[in-house]
Amino acid sequence: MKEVNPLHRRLQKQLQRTGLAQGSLPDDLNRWQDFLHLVDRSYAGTSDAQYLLERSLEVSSQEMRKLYDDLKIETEQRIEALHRSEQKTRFMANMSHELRTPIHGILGSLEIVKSTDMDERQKLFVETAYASCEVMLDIINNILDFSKLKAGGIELEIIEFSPRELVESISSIMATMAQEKNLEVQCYIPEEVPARVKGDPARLRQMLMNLIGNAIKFTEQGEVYTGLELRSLGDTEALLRFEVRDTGIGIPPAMQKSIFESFVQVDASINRRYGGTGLGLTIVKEFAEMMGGRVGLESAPESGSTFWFEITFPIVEISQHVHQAKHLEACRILVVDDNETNRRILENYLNAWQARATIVSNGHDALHKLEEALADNNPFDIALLDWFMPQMDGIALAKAIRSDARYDGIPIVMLTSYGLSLEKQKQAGIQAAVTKPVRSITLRDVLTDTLRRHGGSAPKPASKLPPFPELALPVAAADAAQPAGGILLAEDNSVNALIAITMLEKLNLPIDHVTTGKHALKALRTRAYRLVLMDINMPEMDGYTATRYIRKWEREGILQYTPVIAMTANALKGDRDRCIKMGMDDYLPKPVKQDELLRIVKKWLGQPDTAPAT
Amino acid sequence: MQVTLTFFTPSAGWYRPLPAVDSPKTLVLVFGETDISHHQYLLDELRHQYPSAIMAGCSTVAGIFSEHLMENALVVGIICFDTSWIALSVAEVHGISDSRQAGIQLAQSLNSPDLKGMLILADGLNTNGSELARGLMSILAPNVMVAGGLASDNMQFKSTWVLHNGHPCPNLVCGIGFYGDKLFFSTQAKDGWRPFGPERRVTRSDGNILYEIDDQPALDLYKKYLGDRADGLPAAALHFPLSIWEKSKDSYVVRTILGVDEPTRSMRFAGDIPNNSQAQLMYGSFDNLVDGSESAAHLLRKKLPSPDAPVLCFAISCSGRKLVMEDDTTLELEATLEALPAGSQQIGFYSFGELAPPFSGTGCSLHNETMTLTVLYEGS
Repeated sequence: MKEVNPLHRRLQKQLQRTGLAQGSLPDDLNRWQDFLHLVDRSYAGTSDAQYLLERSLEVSSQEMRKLYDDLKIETEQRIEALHRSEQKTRFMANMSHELRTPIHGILGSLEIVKSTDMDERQKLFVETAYASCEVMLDIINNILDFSKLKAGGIELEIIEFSPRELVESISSIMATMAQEKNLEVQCYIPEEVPARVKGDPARLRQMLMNLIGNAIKFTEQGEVYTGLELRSLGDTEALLRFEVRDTGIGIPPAMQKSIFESFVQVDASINRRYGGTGLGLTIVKEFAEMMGGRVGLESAPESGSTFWFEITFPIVEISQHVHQAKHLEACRILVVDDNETNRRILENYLNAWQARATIVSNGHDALHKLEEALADNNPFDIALLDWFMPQMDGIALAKAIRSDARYDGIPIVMLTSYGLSLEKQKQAGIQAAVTKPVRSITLRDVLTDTLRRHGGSAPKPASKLPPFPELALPVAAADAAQPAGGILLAEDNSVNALIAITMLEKLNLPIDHVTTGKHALKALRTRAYRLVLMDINMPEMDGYTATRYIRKWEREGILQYTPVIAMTANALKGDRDRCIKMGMDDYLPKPVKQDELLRIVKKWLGQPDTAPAT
Repeated sequence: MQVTLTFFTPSAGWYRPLPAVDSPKTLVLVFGETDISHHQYLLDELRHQYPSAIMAGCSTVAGIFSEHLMENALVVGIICFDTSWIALSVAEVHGISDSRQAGIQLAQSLNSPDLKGMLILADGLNTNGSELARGLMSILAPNVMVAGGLASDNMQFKSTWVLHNGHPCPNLVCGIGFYGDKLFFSTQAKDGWRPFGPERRVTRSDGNILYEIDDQPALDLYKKYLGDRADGLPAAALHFPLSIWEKSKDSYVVRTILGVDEPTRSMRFAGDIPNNSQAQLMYGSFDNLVDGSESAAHLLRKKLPSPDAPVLCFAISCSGRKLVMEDDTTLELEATLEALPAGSQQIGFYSFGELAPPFSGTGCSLHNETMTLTVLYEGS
């Protein structure tokens, strides 16, 4: 037997065991019976084994079936959840778009109104309305960002920006926000902070707004301080620390860890008392971490909190425009401010501009220093007074100074938190007012300007602001009398169109306004334009399609090349890329700010400064 | 080495006469039924005949005499060593509490640089074999072969005995140490059971009680696998032991189910089931078990220094195997003897658990359901 399979082997063995394998066929019946008995046992054993293996397979396949079913259900649930979350994200995006559009309308309108002649009270209301709108926009952005963070769909922008301008612009909004509560608002940015870095200024702004919003919300008295600090400086990178400090209710130590988690507020009663979504700090933390930085918090209940985040930025340009401060070099400046933080800030600025500052904390000391300087035959060139001080306030001090003719040659600049009417300025003999928080550039400009104009001379009335612009509603594409070389604006929303047209009027270029992509194409075939501003979402034909046709016709030689700039309120990621991919030349996110609009338009018109005459 | 194997039946008396080989190098092994009172005079006779010899033995459901299964007989082996020598030690055992201590005690009293191997005979109902093995190996060098078994009774699980000074005693464990340069002593346990189904994790157990496998009640899972074979529980459980894998997954031990408990859905085993170990079901047909025994003998034969010299084989097989193989049990005894060199002799008993090295490696473990063979061979 050559091939011995298990059964053969088994039978052979059994033959052996029963003594039957001796070659000849034995006639012993007992042996045959033994053999058959063993074969029977083998058979029984084999069928038992088979039964058990079948059982085992059945059990296993039952278990696999169950696993499969469970997995299938789980997968289906996951897919469904995914769909739901996709829907949610899309809903959020849509909703935020819907909400943004009217807010942009308000912001754009206010921006135009802001640049017109208004009295202080009107200005204040407009500023408040503008700031409120921006806060609302921030909340919407927070919600949208939060939903996108959840879905992992956030991409950071990397563009050049000035950290100084960023923080200063925010702190001025903050001043408006803090006005109601009578909070001191401080902002300090040391001179050595790099002039331009690369990063995502919109997100940074949002982060700071979240922190400042909280600080103001939770502080009843005292001050809110915003600072920017250079922590370390490398050849190509700078570590900047953004800090917001308040004198508010503080955060108990036990809560300090979880405060950065979603929806967490110090306690439920906080929510009832102060409102808020509880998303702000989460977003700050997530963004900071996305930017490779970190966040932190130092706080003691009832004495205030300091929130900060540190991020390393690539440096684009390191030096400030120091030369502009030259005018203040060696200039004798008297500073009077009761607030220590503010004194420190002002001292820093003035030292950086190499001015010779004498800083005191009250009116009495100020008058003493003035007297002293006169006696030393080294009088002050200018005085910088804080308005709101205990005992003798800035107005009283100004009046006291003006009552002494020896000081007539010293112009007075007033620091105010709330604006100061020209009339009141005149009454008190004040030459200029600067609203807190003080931006260094503004302060520098005001000081230089005041010195230039009033150094040693009598105050003059301030020059008049331009009147409210005439809103010339444009004529649609039919007017053939217009010379070539204008701008074509395709925008279906009439408010947005009006704002854009008003903003563009400074260019003195003819502007044709159409409301669909189709009309835009028609206008382009009728006459040549130097530039097209293209909204994306329009009825009949959207901006993408219209742009595709424009590019196609250009390739076919039907049209001259015309730059197309997208304008869209879609805040979803990849919009810029998409626009560029669709053949557009540039991208303007809404709300369109006048400066930005003009900058981009000028860039594509190839005329950076002057608008061509028509 | 002079070996005389014989047995006594009331009807026929001694199968072979007792040889006159009394000496301190003589070992007298006795295996008999649980109720041995009617044979006490034989034990007295042996004691009288071999006053200098070491006498040891234990109760069993069936003795092993050559290839024969002896159910109502007193099986006796008289082994007289030429150059090697032997020693005996006993310890009391009352359960899990002192089993390890008993092992330590035996090992300490028998340990010596010359120690080649040790044969253990233990009370079958009051010994925790795992603990006993642990105690022994905590003292002995890893290369010392330890073999042995737990005494059995007539499957009533009521009383077992171990011989001490010629008297059957409960709660006793005895160890016989084998010494000498020329002595070859080697042990091999083999089961022959076949694992089936996936390996599963023991998720709750306590000593020898198994409650949960893969977080399911152990009894439910067990029954699921057995299908209609589960109708025969608890008796049928003998046919389907569990293999319990060590954490290292190097080797496993077989564990017999002694009983099931419906209210707690648990099962009781003839050995510990450690938590977190891997368990797998097993089945064994008559053929598989015989093959297991045969392979134990084959493996041992490969280790023999002179492969054709006859040896003395201590065979300790599990009483559970006997229940499965029924009337054909002798076939495993034939198989082992056949696989050993011609002229070899075999003596032993059916046990309630075997002590032997793990299936791979050294040391000593408690086994269930194995054929544990120990061969002795005295070189010239």
